[in-house]
Amino acid sequence: MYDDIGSWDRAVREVYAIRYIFHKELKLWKRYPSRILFMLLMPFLSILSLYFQGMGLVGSTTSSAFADVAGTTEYLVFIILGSALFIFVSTAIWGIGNSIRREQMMGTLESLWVAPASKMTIFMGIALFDGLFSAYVAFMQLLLSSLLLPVNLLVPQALVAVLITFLLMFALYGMGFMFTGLVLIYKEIEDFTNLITQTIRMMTPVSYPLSVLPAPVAFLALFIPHTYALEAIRGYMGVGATHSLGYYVLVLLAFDVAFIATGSRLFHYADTRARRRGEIATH
Amino acid sequence: MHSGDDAAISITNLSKVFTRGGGALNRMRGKGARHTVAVDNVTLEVREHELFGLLGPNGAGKTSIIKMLSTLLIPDSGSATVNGWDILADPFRVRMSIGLTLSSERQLYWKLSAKENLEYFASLYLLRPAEIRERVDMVLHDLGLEEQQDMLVENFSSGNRQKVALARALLNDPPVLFLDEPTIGLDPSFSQSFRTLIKKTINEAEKKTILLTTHYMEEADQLCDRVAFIDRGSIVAIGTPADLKRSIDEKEILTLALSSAPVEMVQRIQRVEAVSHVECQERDGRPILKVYTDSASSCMQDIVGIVTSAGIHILSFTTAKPTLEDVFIKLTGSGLDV
Repeated sequence: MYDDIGSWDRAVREVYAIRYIFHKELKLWKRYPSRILFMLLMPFLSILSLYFQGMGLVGSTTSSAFADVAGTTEYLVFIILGSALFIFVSTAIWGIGNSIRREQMMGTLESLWVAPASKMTIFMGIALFDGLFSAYVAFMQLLLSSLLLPVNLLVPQALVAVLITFLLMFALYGMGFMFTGLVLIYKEIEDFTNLITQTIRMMTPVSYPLSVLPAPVAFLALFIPHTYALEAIRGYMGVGATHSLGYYVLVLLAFDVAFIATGSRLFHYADTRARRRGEIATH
Repeated sequence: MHSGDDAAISITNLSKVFTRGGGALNRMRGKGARHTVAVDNVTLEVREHELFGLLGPNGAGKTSIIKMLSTLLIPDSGSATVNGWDILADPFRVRMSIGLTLSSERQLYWKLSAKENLEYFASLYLLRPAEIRERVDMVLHDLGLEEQQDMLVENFSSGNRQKVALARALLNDPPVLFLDEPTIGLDPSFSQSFRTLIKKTINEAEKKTILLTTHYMEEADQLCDRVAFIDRGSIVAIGTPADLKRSIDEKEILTLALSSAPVEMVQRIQRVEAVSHVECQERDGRPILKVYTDSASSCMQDIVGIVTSAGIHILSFTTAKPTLEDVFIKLTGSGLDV
């Protein structure tokens, strides 16, 4: 049917495939009503939980004691921004691997693997769906916070946050490729992924600044792209010191290249290993 | 086809050994790796537009061959081309040239409709949106699925799910189709109509080269232009069903269902003059004796005499021409329902 397919033609067809993969993920998601309920309530419940946590600890949305370690009194804004960005981290790390694991359990993975579309195309379709899901949750957290709590996060500087988050996503999906490779090798890695996700949460300034961490841990946090993205976003939203935007863009681009290259290689190794051992579809 | 010769599929000395349990942890426990030979030095060719069957019991290596040809499994040694493309050097072109159905019922998304499944997979076969619409409508029509196209796959019968899987394999209009146990688990009447669909519509009308695996003797006999018997990873015979059946020297087979089959009695039957070979199998808990002979009429009385004198009841007694299964049993010493 398409013996004469060229590289440009193929690239266009792969882009169309991404669109169909996104729609397939969306259709499957919509067929389970509990997921819709979860999506509607999750942002609301998560920001209320952060608000009450702040009120319980300091009795206010601001704290002068917090300023001593974080350089800002805006405790609530600090942790809402940390929480909103962490949605992207947890979804990107586990999203593609989880989706591939689901295909494995459903019995559809071999049908995907035998299709000519690139594996990266399949991952991008899944990542697009997960990315938009994360963006929705994060946006709703900021919107609801601005509407219901005594903070305003819908400021023009939020556009810088969008750029930073966009740059962060590539590095995160590079990590996602690594975990997807681990799914092909070790199959059930949910506990391991949870461990990694929680470790990243502990090591990076999601709910507290780096300055409260022991020095070795704070040093290790510098090798996680999420640390820089959080610092940049908070800086531009007015709750923390910051380098120039160019600095963050360059650092995140470097992480993107390193993580995508490493993630792709690791996935390719795992895929070849699984095809050599006949373990693509085994549970 | 890509290359000039008329072999749609060409396999040379293909081998695959699965190794399990060879990790460091097992070595520390003193447990060695287990090696299972799945495919052992297989060489065969499937001609363009041919319907070729790999016939063998479960675990014989049929699915491993199909998975290697469809790039899901990497061989340990040997080589193969599909539609002229090397499976290791050019897996992308191989995937573009094939359609595959697997024996699992869960190869589709049950929460999507038939049409949604086909549209999705067509995109993975790198069709453009206009081509997707055209091809999906065409395969739904050709396979008689138009009326059920919007029904969720979870509400389909097993047979119609297999039809959707076949429709999916045809989306990219591939020159080569791999069908792994296409009628397994289907009821007899649906299996028959499905076989007719494969033979008349897909193979004869659409001129697809088909490599199918089966352990149903009658399916291979009815559908295939040629058949390869595979046992423990090796090809033991290749030919047309008629040629393979002619390869048995004996012209007739007596099949006796007995109340029991003591060894001494079987040995006595083996010594009857016109009898060349006796096989003892079990079916539904009853011994079944298969007696291979040039002339059933000349040895029938002797056999009945031996059985009744041993105080054994004959529950049924038939004579028949050799089937493919008989050829397989003769060649391998075991049946297909292993």
